[in-house]
Amino acid sequence: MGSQIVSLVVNDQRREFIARPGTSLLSALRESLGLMAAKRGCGQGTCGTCTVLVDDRPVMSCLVAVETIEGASVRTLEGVARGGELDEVQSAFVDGFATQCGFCTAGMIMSAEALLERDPDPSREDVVEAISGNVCRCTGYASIVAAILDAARRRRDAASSGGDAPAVPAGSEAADGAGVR
Amino acid sequence: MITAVRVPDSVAAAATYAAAGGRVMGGGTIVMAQVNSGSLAETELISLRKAGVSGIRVDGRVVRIGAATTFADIERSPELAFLHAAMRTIASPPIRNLATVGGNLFVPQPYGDFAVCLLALGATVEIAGPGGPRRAPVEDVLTAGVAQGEFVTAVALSLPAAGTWFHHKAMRRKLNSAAIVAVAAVVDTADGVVTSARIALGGVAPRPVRAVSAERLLTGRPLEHDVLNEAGRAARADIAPFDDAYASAWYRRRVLPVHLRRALLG
Amino acid sequence: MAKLRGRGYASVNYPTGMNLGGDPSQALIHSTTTGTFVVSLSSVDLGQGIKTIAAQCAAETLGLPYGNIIVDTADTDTGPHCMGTFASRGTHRVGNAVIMAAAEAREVMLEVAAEELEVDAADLETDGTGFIQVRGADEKRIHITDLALAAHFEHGRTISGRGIFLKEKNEPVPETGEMDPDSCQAHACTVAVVEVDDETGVVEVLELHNAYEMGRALNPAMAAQQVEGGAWMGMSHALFEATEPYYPARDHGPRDFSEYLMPTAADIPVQRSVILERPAANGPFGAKGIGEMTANAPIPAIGNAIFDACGVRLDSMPFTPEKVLRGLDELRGLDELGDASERAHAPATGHERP
Repeated sequence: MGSQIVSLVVNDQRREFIARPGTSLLSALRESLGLMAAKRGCGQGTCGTCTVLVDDRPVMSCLVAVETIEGASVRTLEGVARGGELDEVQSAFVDGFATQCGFCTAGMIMSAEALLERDPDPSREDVVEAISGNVCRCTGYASIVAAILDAARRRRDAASSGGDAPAVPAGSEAADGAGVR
Repeated sequence: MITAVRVPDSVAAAATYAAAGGRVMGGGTIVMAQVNSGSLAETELISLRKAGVSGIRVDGRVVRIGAATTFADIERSPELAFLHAAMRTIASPPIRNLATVGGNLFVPQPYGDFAVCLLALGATVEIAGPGGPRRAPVEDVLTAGVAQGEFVTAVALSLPAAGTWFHHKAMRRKLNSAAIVAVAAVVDTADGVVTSARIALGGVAPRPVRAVSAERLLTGRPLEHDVLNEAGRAARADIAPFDDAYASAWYRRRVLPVHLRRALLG
Repeated sequence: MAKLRGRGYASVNYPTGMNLGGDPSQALIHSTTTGTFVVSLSSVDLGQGIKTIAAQCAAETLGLPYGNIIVDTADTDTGPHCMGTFASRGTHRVGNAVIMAAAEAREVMLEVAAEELEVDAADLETDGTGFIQVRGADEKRIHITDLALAAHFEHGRTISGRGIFLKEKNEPVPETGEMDPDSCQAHACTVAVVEVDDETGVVEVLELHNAYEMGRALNPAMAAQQVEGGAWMGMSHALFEATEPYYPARDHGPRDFSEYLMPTAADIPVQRSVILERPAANGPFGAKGIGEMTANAPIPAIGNAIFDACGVRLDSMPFTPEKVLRGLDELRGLDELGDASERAHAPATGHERP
C-alpha cells in the first residue's frame, strides 16, 4: 500500500501532503508542512512539547498516525496570533516571564488555549491539570500557571468590555523590556 | 517498519485486516510510541478510530463502551460520573484525548488503570475475530489476552449503586504518574457490614488482580480502620509485586494495607 | 496516620566564573545608520537571558533606551570570542565586556555629537530617551538617529567599541595551595518547609524561602525566575530524579519522561524569594553570577526539613518515599512489613542524631 496523500485543515488552511506509513502528525507538521513550533522532545508522548489541537482537543502529535485523522482540523502555535498580533495567552507569557529556553512553550500555550476555549474562568487546579502533560525544566511552572490565569482574565475582560483588548504586536517589547531580538 | 496504516470503517473490515496479521491500534499511545522508537517489527497498523466502535450507550444500569472510546470521552460522559475521578489520575489531558478503553486492556502494570476499574466492576469484554464475535469476562482477557486476529470491540459494565464505588491510586507525584498501588472496588454494605466486595488492585502484579483474600476477610465485617488494616495485610497474599522506576516490590507490599484502607475509608 | 511538618535550611557560597587557562569574553558594538546599536557576541542564550542582560548593560552604559539595542549572538565561528555561557560566568564576563565596548562607543558618540552641536564633548549628557544634549541647556540637543546618520554620511565616523573581560589564569601557590580561582562569590540560603506522610513516607514540599546575595540584580524579575526555577530543579533532584533508582544496580533505569519523573505544577511549593545586594567590585554594575547555584541549597534544606519533621536522616538522593519509610520503620521498631517487631526500640522522638 505504501504512502498516501493526507489532507488536513491546518490553522484554517487546507493542506495536503504525502505520508509514508507510520508518519506521525508531529513529523508531518515539521517536515512536510514547515510548521516548526511543535517540538520533538521524546517521541513517547511523555514530554508534551508536541502538543497541538486536533478538532479543538489537545493531543500529543507524536502519537497520532496522520492517516487516522484524515480531514481533521489541526491547530498549532503558528495559528494562534491574530493578524500578526499576539493573543492574550502569548502576551501573558511574554509579560509574565513564563518562558526561558522556550522548548516547552509551544505545547504549553496550546494546552492553555484548549483549556480557555473550554473554560474561560479556570481555577488554579484546572490550569495545573491542563498542563500536567507539559514538562518544563526551566521555570518551575509558577510563572506559567500565573500567565495562563492572567490570560484568562485578560480574555474575560476583553469579552466583557465588548471588544478585543489591545493586543501586543508580535515582535515588540513588554513593559519590563523583555523584547531583545 | 510500518508497511501501511489502515483506517477501516467497520468492524468487519477491521477484522479482515486483523486476520491478515496487522497490529490493532486504539489511540496510538502505546503503538505509535513503539513506532517512534523503532521497536515495532514490520507490520501494518489497523486503527479502530473510524471503525464504529466509539461511543457510550446506557441501557438501564448497563453501560456499553466502545473499544475506541477515549478516556476523555468518559470524562465528558455524565452517565459515567462515578469514573471521572479515576480517569483524572491517568496520564494527562493530551494523552486522555487519545488513549482508549480497548487499548488499556493490553498494557502491562503499572499502567492500565482503567483495566483495574473494569476488573472491580466485573465488566464483560466483547471481542471480534475470525471465529466470529464472542464475549468474555474481563479477567480472562486480562490474564490470557485475545487470540491471534481477534480484537476488542466494546466493554460492558453495570453501574454500581450509589456509595458502593471506591477508587484510590497512590502515585509517585500528584498528577500524571503510573500506579504504585491502585485500588478500585465495588463494596456493598448493609447494616454497617460488608455484604459483597469486588476489590481490584493495580501496580502490584504484572496484571490487575482481585484482592480475594481481602474480600473474604471483609465480608460480614464493618469498613473500619482496624478491619481494613487486617484486610490490607491479608491482600498481600494476592499480589506479585515488582520493582520498577516508580517503586520497589518491597515498597508496594509495605504500603498496600495503607492504600487499601484509604481507598475504602474515603 | 499523621502528616509531620518540618523545617530545615541550608546555605551555599558559589563562585562566579572559573580559572582554566584564563577566562575571557569579548564584545563588539556598533551603531547602524539609524542609531540602533548592535552588540555582537558569541555567547549563547539558552533561555537564561544573557541577551537581555547584555542589552541592559549596553543601554545603561550608552545612556540610550533599551529598545535601541540589538544583541546578535548569531555565529560562534565568526563572532568575538566567548568561552561560553556556563560556570555562572555569563553576566559577569560578558556584562563587563559589553560595558567596556559600550563605553568606547559612547565616547565616539559624544565626540560626533560635540561636532554636530559645536560644543565640548565634556559638556554633553544623555537623557536616557535617545537624546544627547548639553548639560544645563537641554534645548541644544540631537537625537541618536540623526546623530548616527550624520556620523555615517557627513563625518565618516564609526560609532563603535570593543570590549573584553579576562579573568587571568591563576596558579595555586605550591606551598600553601592558596589561589584566586574565581572573581567573586554569591551567597544563598534556602529554608524548606515539608510535610511527611508517616504511613507512606511521601514528602511534600510546602514552602521554599530563598535569600540570594548576588551583588546586583541587573534584572530582578529574571533573577527571581532563576532562583525559583532552580529551586524547582533542586526539589526535583532531592525527591524524584535518579538514573539508577536501584544504584549501584543499573536495573529499571528510566527510559522516558513517564518513568523519569519530575514534579509537575501540582507538586510545586509556595516560593518566596528575597534578593540582597552587596556589589562586587569587579562585577558589571556590581553583579555576580547565580546561574548554577540555584539548585543547590534547596536539596539539603529539604533533607534537613525531613529530619526535623520525622527524625529520618537521609544523605543520598533522591529522598524517596521508600527511604523515608524505611527510616521511620527503623525509628519505630517495626519490621519489614511495618508490623511491631522484636527489635530493641529506637529513641522515642527519633530526633536525636546517631
